[in-house]
Amino acid sequence: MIVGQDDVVESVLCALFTGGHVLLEGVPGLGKTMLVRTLGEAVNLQFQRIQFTPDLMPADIVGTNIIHEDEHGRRAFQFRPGPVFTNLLLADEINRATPKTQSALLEAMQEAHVTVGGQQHALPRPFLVLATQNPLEMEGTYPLPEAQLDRFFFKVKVRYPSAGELHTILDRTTSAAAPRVEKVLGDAAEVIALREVVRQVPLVREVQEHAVRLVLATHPEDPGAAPSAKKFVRYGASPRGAQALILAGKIFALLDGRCHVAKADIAKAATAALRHRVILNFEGEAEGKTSDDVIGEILRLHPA
Amino acid sequence: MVVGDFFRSAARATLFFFAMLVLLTAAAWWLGEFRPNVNDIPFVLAWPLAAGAVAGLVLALVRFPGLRRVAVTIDRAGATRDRFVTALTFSKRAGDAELESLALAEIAGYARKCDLRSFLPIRAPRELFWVAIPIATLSLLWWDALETAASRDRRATEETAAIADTAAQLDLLASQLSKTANPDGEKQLQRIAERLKQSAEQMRAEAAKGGDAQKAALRELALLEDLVRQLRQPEAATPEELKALAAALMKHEPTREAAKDMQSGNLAGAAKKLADAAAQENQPSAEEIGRELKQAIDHLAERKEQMSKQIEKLQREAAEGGKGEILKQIADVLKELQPQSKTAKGGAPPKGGGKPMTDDDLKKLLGALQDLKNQQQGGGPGGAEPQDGEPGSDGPIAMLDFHQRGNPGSDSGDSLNTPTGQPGRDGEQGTTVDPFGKQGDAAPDAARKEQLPGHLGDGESLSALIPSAAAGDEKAARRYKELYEAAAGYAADAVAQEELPLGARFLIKRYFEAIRPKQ
Repeated sequence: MIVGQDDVVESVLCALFTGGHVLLEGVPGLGKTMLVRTLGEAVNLQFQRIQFTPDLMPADIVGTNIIHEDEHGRRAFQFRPGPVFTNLLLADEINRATPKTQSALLEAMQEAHVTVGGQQHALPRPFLVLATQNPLEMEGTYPLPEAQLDRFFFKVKVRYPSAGELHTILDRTTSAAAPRVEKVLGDAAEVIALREVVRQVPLVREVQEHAVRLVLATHPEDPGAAPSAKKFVRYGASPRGAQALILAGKIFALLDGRCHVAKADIAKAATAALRHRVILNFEGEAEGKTSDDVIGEILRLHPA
Repeated sequence: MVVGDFFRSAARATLFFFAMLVLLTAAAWWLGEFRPNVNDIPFVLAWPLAAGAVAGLVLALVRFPGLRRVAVTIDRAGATRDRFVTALTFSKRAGDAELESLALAEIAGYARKCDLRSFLPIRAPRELFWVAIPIATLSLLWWDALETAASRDRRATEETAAIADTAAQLDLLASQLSKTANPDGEKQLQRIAERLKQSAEQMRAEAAKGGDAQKAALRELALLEDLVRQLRQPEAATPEELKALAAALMKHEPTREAAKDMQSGNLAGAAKKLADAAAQENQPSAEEIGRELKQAIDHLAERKEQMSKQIEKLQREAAEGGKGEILKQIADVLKELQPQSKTAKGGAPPKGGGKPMTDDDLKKLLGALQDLKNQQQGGGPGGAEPQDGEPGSDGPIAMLDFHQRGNPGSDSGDSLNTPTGQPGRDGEQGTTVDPFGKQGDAAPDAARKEQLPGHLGDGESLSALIPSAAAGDEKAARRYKELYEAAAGYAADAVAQEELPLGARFLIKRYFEAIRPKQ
């Protein structure tokens, strides 16, 4: 269903089986919605999409209490859940919503429940949020603050399809034959069980040290920091980044058919797990440096 | 992999030590501190290699890696996804985690399928290039040594051929001298013969080494020459001979001091005293000197007696007549007496004995002669002997008084008419045609030229160097203004003294105005 974008699919699956959330950055029309829908169909999970707009209210996301009158004429507040109550949520253009609305979603992402009217409502499990940001239209938007970005497991850049991929897309989507999605998993319980299996994948101390070295290398004040990190980075990755590295490494190891994590798995997850957690300083932004450049140098200095 | 790493490490260390040792050897060779023979050069190369190999093995054994390091090395080299490290870790754990077991099983299957030989590539260590430079250096030095040896051999052959004749001649001469010399005597000849043999051997040895045999030959011949020269010199006296000589010298008074020096070993002092004694032998003693003086004085007295008698005779004859001849004879007598008189006045006593003539005697004689002269010239006997300060009182040396002490301007007695240094004489006043004055009488025959020695007195002296301005581009030594001012007075005086006509005076005045320097 998804042509190309293997790294995006893999990242999304990593996030699904580790309990994380993904921030997708790409121009519109690259199949982000199709991805989430396909994933939901494949793993037999519910799917919802929210198009964030500046006038979107938190209640539009989490739900609200409404007055309901029963057949006896009695009136009571009844909680009407919002679209967040789903397994897979596509939060399209999350940066267009106000910070208040963003925080409502981010709270749900972090806590796995929402509080409406003083009452907590647990979100279904598994719960995966795929938020998107349009890198082109940044005017009039509310970019997510760094603290909010840190809650995402991965930040994946959805690239434009190549010519061959575009041909395939056209062939598949403009013809009479519509591709069908095969269900891989039965229900949500299997996803949760797989999550448990992922956490059991062992890793040796050397591999964990490698992950720690990578994270510490993003901090400019660290003795083992990369030269570009010392020069262009203001804030390095948080411990959530190391967690993301380890969990993603386990996923990648399993995807590679291994039951142990290797340094190569850590290195493979480094860019997606750390790029939104490394905050550049003014000099880095002025020189056009990106966090990907810094992470790339770190990976070269600490090869697997 | 581990084995390959070990051997590579050992080879690396070996090559490093070999390279260092070879560099040191090459440096020592280059600096000239170490010059191995050509045949020893393989050993020179072999020992650093052996030492380096041993050092390398020892170092590699010391640094032998552990199992964990081996696993890390294999994972890094083989891209095994950390399987071996994981397997090593999981195998040590006592836990029964299912996934760990699965991991170990997967790794085992991987290890069974994996070809580890690919992890042991056989390749030369990069450090092998380190030895290229020292090997090249040693090769060059080896080639240089071979060339030097060949050159030395060629040179030795050439030099040996060059001096072969000379050495053969020296040997022949030595053998001939040995045959000629009596074994019991003629040690000098034997010594020369031995030296000749040594010289020939030395020359051959020098040629065989490749040195400059010609120079060696010249050197040996010079040494032989020195030897012969030494042998020709009289031998120094032996101590016994010196003792005997000292004993002989002790017997004579004049050489006794010299003998004492000789006995004490001061040969130089003895030689000096002997020389002094020889000099004293040639000098006359005081008695001899007195004897000779007496003889001289006696001779003089005898001569004086003769002269007195002759003078008396002349006086008698002068009284009787023939004064001219008499005067001549007196003059001759006086000539004869003058050296004696000089000696009597200031020098050593004359030889021949007798008392020296005194000044009074001579003055009396002069008085007598003066009388005679006056008589010849028409005057009476003036008689008196000249006193000091008067003409003729200067002794017989000032016999002819050339100095006219009369008043200036007087003609009397100035037979030569020499300038007096004072103006007013007839020649100087222009009263004669000849600017040198009136011709005087010729100098008398008795006059004789005598060079009077002069000496610088103790009084002040003043000298002035008057540089002459040469014609041409040289500048005058004095400024013209200064010269004019210095000479103007003299010129004015000279003009004023002359009786010039008025017209000439005007011209002269204009002339001086013209040459007056500009202000």
